[in-house]
Amino acid sequence: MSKYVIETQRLTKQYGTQKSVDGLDLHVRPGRIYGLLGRNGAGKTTTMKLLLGLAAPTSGEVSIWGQSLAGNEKLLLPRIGSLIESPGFYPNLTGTENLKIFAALRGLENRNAIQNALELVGLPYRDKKLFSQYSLGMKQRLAIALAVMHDPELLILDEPINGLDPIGIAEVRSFIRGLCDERGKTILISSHILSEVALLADDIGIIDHGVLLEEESLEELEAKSDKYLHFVVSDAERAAEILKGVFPDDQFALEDRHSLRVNSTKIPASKLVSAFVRAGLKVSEAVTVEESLEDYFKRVTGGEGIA
Amino acid sequence: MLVAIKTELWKLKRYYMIWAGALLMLLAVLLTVFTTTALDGTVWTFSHFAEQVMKENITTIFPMCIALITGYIINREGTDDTLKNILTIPVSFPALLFGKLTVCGLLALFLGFASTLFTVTASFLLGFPGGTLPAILQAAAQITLNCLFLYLAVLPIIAIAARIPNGHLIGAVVAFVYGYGGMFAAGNMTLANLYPVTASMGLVGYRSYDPAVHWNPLLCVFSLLVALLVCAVLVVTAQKGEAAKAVKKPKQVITKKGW
Repeated sequence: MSKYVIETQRLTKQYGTQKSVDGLDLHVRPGRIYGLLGRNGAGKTTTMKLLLGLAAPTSGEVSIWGQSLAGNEKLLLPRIGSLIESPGFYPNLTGTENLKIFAALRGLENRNAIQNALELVGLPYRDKKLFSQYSLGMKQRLAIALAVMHDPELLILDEPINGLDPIGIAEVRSFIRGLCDERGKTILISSHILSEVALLADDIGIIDHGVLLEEESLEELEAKSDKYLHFVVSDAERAAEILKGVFPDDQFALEDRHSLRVNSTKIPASKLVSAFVRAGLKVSEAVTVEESLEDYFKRVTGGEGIA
Repeated sequence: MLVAIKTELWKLKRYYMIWAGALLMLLAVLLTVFTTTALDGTVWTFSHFAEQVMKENITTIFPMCIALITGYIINREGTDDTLKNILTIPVSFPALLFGKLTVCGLLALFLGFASTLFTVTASFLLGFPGGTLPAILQAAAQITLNCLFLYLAVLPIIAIAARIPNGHLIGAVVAFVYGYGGMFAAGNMTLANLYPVTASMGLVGYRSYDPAVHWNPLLCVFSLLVALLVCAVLVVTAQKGEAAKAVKKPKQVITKKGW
């Protein structure tokens, strides 16, 4: 039995000369939410298409529950629920009629599956409204209903909160969290919204230009994030003189005449404040600054932030 | 396979292309009505009118019409972006095509029935003699079955078009030329028996009372079986998403609201 629900080995997808996904080694653990984070065009959707067999890899392999996806699609795909890119449904049919088609194709025997799925996402059952008349948020909800209708063990959701209003986002977030915590589902979600991934994911993979730059748990990422002390004092140069006796030169830096930054949190800020006060300096601000996930993302990708 | 057919039927609910097809059937009848106004000494009867509607269907309207509608029905999985939902079930692309082509066969019968209704109505409105029940039943059987056989004749074009992104429009044009070619094939009975479009006429006994017309039903069946076989090979070897891979939804222009 594999340790991972999803595992890829050097997964690569090349279109012409451009590599959309480049040597990806992804590891999704059971019963956890994995957030695939990246800018628009970073390769998130292509990765998900490769995981679902919607695109064939140029090289590398996808394993799901320890079995290679290639050749085992009929065995593996029915156990997966997915939402890829924008919701795709028949515009001339209602939401219920649309789900009825996919339920029949799946051979779903549970007669309440459609109603349960619609209720789960807050859409009415047997409503007369056609899909073409749905708002973007309703379309997204219907797509999520389709993904969960057959009670899959693994969910692959590409930007699931796209088009939802703030309340809808909170509902979907809590619904996804519930699926993982209460029903033990494994969930892979992609997003370019850092805050959403930070709020939802247990494990995070950062993808940029098709390359997986980082893959860690949220706790590990938080531990790796930079922390520093920021002081605003009456005379920053004198404060720096005091720090010279405590830290090496590269551990602190003057920012202007009144502020300085200490790149270490080994000595508590209170002790440094006491030292400044004893030297006759006035301290108007002393804060521990923690690097946000966005700052970390910028640092890792060497870019200007997300999306 | 039965599920694929059943779900394809469900997808046609409120689908505007069905009514577009029915309107094209009406157009064939209207074109024939137009020809009845010519002062060329023709004595118009119900049977003659029905034959002319069939000729119009065969050479002008039906091959293009059914290729276009079937093409749209196949292509919509790409434009509506539903193919990904089907392939991840997983339902194979050939199985999906099989379901669609079977349902379109039923649609061909429906359009043939619609054509019969329009023909009978037009004939009665124009007051043509000979509209007896046996004549109407014979015309209904001939027109309806001819539509089905014509559909079989056009299947290879539909199956090729299904492999080309947005190929349904090219398919419709090719099907029109293919149908029009029936006019030339009809001039030689051997060719008429072998050319799938005209073979469909042979199988319904089009003008078989005419001593100059010698249909060979076996050759006609053979011709349509070859068309069916070519289609089957094309369907079985079709790759998933082939038709939809380059199909993009038209970009929505978002008008800025407010300031």
